[in-house]
Formats: sequence, structure tokens, C-alpha cells
Amino acid sequence: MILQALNDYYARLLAAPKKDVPEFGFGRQGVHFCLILDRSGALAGRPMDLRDEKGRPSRIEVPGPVGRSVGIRSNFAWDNTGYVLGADDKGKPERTAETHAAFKALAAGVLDGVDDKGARALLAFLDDWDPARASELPGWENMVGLNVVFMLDGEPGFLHDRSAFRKAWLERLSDNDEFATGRCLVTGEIGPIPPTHAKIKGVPGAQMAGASLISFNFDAAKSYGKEQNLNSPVSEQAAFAYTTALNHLLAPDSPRKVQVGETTVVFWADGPGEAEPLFGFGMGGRKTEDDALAARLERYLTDMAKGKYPDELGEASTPFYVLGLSPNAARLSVRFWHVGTVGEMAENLGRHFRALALQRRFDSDPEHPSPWRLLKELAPQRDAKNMSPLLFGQFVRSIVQGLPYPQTLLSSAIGRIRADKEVNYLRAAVIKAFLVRNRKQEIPMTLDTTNTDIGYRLGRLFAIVERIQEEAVPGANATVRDRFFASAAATPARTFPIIMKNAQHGLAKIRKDKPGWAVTLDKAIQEIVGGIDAATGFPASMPSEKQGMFILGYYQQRQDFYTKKEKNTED
Amino acid sequence: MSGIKLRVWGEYACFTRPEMKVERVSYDVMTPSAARGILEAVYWKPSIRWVVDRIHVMKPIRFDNVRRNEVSAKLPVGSVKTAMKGGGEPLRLFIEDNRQQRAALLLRDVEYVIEAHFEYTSPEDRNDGKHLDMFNRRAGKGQCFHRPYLGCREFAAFFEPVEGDVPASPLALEAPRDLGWMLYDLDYRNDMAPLFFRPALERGVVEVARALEREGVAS
Repeated sequence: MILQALNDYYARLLAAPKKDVPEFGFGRQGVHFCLILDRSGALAGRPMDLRDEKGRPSRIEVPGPVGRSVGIRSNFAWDNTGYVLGADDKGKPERTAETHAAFKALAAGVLDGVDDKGARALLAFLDDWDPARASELPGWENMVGLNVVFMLDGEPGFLHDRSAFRKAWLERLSDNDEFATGRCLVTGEIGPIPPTHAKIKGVPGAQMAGASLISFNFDAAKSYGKEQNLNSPVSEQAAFAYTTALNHLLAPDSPRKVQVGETTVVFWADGPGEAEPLFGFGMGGRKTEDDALAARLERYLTDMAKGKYPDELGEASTPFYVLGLSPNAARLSVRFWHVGTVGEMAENLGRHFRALALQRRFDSDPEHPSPWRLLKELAPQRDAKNMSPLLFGQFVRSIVQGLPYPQTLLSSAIGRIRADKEVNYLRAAVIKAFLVRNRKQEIPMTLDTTNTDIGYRLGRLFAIVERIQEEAVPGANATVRDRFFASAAATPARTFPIIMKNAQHGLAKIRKDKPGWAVTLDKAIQEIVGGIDAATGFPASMPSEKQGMFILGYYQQRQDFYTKKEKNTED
Repeated sequence: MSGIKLRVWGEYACFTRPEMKVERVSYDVMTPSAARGILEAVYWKPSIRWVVDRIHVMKPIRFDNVRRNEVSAKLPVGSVKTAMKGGGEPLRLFIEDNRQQRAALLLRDVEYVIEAHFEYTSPEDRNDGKHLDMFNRRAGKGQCFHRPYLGCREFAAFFEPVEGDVPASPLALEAPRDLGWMLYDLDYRNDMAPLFFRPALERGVVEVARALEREGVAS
């Protein structure tokens, strides 16, 4: 269904009033210069420089472009100077002569019998041209080896854009009998089946020249003696459509993609509305420069987290597609594929943010952290390189489809906290989301003193113990958290007696300066310990789910101290 | 011709789409050819041919990602022939030299009920009762010629015959889903050309026979 959906998407892009995808048989290519011909086919004036001020070529729609590896295959009515003018700086004059001959032959073949002044001018120019004259062209040293197109003097537009040229080129393509024919598995129609498809560009980590979504590049992938893409017949039209649509989604400035570690996620909706930018925003895609839009998107997320559907997203039943790709050398692999509706997407995104919702520690903490922010928090050294691509794929899929989160989410969050003893907002939020969705725990955003879960209570107790130490021994080298956090969470029965004893010493010290505060803390301890089942006492060990509750109890209790302190200073 | 019903289930399944068989992506549901493979594993004779009529999807469609180490090479036919004649090098493929890591998007926790009937391939051995009994008896006892599997050999299929009516699919209330062009079979007489058909998932059931009737097998 992926190819079908991309094929349909291409058709929609093509039908849009402001179309920014090329038609079948054409593609965008960086072109540097334009040669201007008069009607007799002579050069008129200096070649026009199409590059911008930074020397980048302008990307224009041209016929083709052909896929080229080592063989000689010319493009029609445009190409690099080696093909067009028979002169380049590669130092292989024989080969350059061959490429020029191929260019002339193709142009003559396509434009044969075309009644058009542009066609006549181009053919006359090619008949007349002597490659040795190339070096006399003004600005030749800048132009050598680069792509050039043609223009007719005094006429608007490029030669290859003239309707006669486009028509002749499309006829040429439809006459193409170079491919075997077969049933297309995308459209179901019989047509020519090209052995290779255009490359997909814009997936970081894949090869620079692009990678293939569909390819059969080693023996074990081939079946029934079929070669290359004959293993999976896709017609030329459909192959063009799906590669063009996918390249469009993956374009560098595309608002419909999110890059997370190794995985690139593209998404598109089947109709109008702001669902696409919203999804990109929620998943941490390219930040929009439009402040009004950003504010609006933030509001949608807040609405959705409350279970409301923002009308600006358009019809809730509009189909919505999410495709996750990751590179594997010259190939792309599909990490996930989801077909849903805009309404379902909004609901699932809302549910996800509802599960995550937790009181923030700082105002700078994001209210709607993206999956990428969250998973980076769980990666060693917070390095995107250490993020697990598998976990990311599973995480995004569980968000998009409203499924339970991957099991490894909890264990890697606990693992990270054990390793660096840092319990921050993002980590606590991940753990909360996991416990809420996968373990059906009821956990409010802020401290819940009525929660009797043993893990949660011990976490709170630990926060108080730490607090006592902070007050009693300010600036301690190794705090109780540094030394005991991991073992307190995993094996409370072994750890708590020790730290509770230390806490009593701490309390005694605080009592000398601030007797009232000491009583408050002591009461808090009594209240928590009183809620622990006396028969079982401190558990000998706690499973990861309870450790998650421990971390949350700790975070929320600690957060509670901060909030109270703020109130006190205000008074 | 009276048909058979077989319930099959397993933890994983991968009915690989031909266009994505390098970095595998599974079809949403079992293909008729995969279903036929399972039936043939339980009972088959040269005189009969299984025809899959209907596939009931009995569990929600769920996908998962797995990366596996596979090999990139195949044993050349030539060296197999040489080995059969007793000459040349020993027949072997070293996985260490031909390692290829491939990702797969496959199905998790699947269950299907296959409805099928058989047709005769020749005038001989025509006895409906005998073939049906043999299939049902073998399926009931868990006998099979080789272990049936769900698309890939490593995803073993468990099976049992279904007595009486097939229970309603949990997907029965979902909107019909177009499954696109799906591989039906290969035409071995015509240069192994792939045959495609256009099934839909309606009320949790893929009506193979009806889809074939509607669009025909397209080659």
C-alpha cells in the first residue's frame, strides 16, 4: 500500500493549482548556464549565468534526467558541456566526442520532423557547432563541465519548455520499447517495467547519491531467475510517481518530514487543513519560522491533550499517512507504515501528550516534548548517535497508533537514571507516560499524597531524606542521591535502614537551627512510613515497574518542595 | 465440492510484498499462496490442487520491526549439479562471508481461518471423501509433511481444523479496506510471470474467490 499511497499522492500534487512536482518524463535539476540561440541557430550574445550569488545552480524542470553510471546516455535538449558542446575538462577527448555525438543523435531523433522554430534553431546549431570553438565562449572557464540549457533569443522561457519540445519528448517516451512489459503491481495496468527506479534522496545516513526503496542488489533477493525490478513489476509511470512523491516529501525544506536519529519520518494528509504542520510540530520536525503558526500549533496540542479536536485540522475522516524510513547502505528500509485518519492522529497525539503530562521543573522545559527530545534523554551522554533506532521506530509507532509503548522504554529510562543519577522532567515524564499507558496507573501531574503504591512512597521518602541531607550538610561531596539512589530503588530493604539512620542525624542537626522545619520534615516521614504496610516493611527488591513509581514519587515530592519554597518567598 | 476450514496462528508472520522483499515489508493479511502452502504442508497429493476461497482475519493487524542477519548469496545451480555428479568442491555457503543485515516490518500475533477446497488435476484418484477425511484427520492430529509456516520458514504456524461455523472476526465492524494489488501466484507455464489480484478486507474476511471473479487473475 505504500507505493499506491505515494502514487495517489503524486497525482494529487500534480492536480494542485500551485504544483511543485514535475510531470512524468521531467525532473528538477541544477542548471548553471543558458546558451542563447537566434533563429538561424547561431549563438546570440554571452551565455546567461543562472547561478545565484553563492554560485549555486538554479533548480529547473528539465526533460529526464537520465540515470547515469558509467555508460553514455544523453539528456534531451540540456546536459553538461561535454554532452552539449563536446568540450569539457575531463581530459578524455575521445569519450567527450562520443558524448557529444550521443547528444546530437538524441536531439535529432526526438525533434525529427517537429515543426517549430526552436527545434530548427537547436538542430541548426548542433549541425554547425565545432567543439573546438567552445573555449572561445565568453566565460568558458566558469562554465566548463557544468549543466547548460538553451533559450531562443527574444522568446520567453527555455527551449526545452516549449510545448513542441515537451510533446516530442513525451512521444519519444511512449515509443520506448527498451523495457519488458508486464502487469504493474501499483496500478494493475500493463505497461513497460523499467529495470531500475530513480533514487530516493534526503534520507540522512544513506548514500549521497540517494538510495533505493525498491532494489534487488544481491542474489538472495532475487526469485525465479528474474533480474532487478522485474522481481516486482512496477510500471514506468508508477515508478516515476512514487519516487517523485517520496523525493518531494523528503526535500530539504519539506515541512512533512521529521528526522530522528537514523530514522526519517514523512507524513501527509489526503486533504486540506493544518494537520501536516501540526504533526511535524508535535513530533519535533523543522521549527516553523512563522510565529503565529507556531502559537496556533501549540494551542492545537494543548487542545488535543484535553481531548478536544481543533477544527483547523480539517475533516477528521481525511486519511493520514505516516512512513518511517531508515537507511541500510544503498537501500532504504521501512521502519513503520501507518494509515489512519486526521481525527485518529489528533486523538492519538493527544492521548500521548496526556500520558506524558507532568509538572515541569523549569519554565524552559517543553510542555509538549517531541519523541526525539525524550529519546535523546535516554541515550548515553545524551548523544543522538547513541539513540536506539529500533526503539525510536517502536516509540513513534506506539504514539501514532495509540498502542502501548515499547517495553524497553521503561528499562532504558531506569537504566539511564541508575547510571547518572539524574531525575529530570523529561525522564520522569517518559516513565509516567509508560506507567499510565502500559500499566494503567493513575498518576496525576503533581504530588499525590494519597498514593499508597510502595514504590511511589519510597520514592517520596527518598526525596525527603535527600532534602534533610541538603539542609543538614550543605555542599556535601557525595550526596545521598549519588551514593544510594540506584540501590534504594532496586533493593529498598538493604538501603533504607542505612539512609534513614543518617537522616535522623541530619534531622537532629536541623532541629538546632530550625526546630519548626525539622518537625515538618519528621511529620512527612512519619506520614509516608505510616502508609507502608508494616507486615511487609521495606521490600527486598523491586521490579522495574515499581522502580518507575519510585522515580516518579521522588520527582514529584522533590518538585513539591520547590513549589512550596516559591510560595514561601512570595509571602 | 465440499471444502475445509483450518485455523492457523502464530507469534510472527511475514507475507512479504514482492516490491519490498529486500528490506521486507509484509502484506496486511495472509496471501492465498501462503495459505495454500500451509494446506499443502498438512495434506497434498499430486492428484489434487488446493484452491483458497476465503481467509478470515481473526486478530487485529499489528506490525513490528525486526532486524535479522540473513545471507546475500544463493548456491549457484551449476555447483549443485556438479556436487550431484560427485565432482567439484563441497556444496557450501559460508554465512560469515555472505552476511547481509536486513530489516523487516512484519506482523505480530496473527490468527487466520483458511477456507479452501480442492480440485483434481487428473481423472485418477477421484474420491472426495477420502481426500477430505485424510486432510481433516491429519489436521486434527497435528500431522504434517513439513512444518507449516506463516510466510517465512522461521515463523512456524500452529493449526487445527475448525468445526462448524467460523466465529465472527474482531475486525467485522471495521470499514472495508482495499488491499491493493496482491500477489496471487506465479504462472510457471508462462516464464514464471507473477499473477496479481485485487482483494479487499471486508468484515475481516478476504473473499479470495470473489476478488478473482470480480477482477480476474491478472498477469
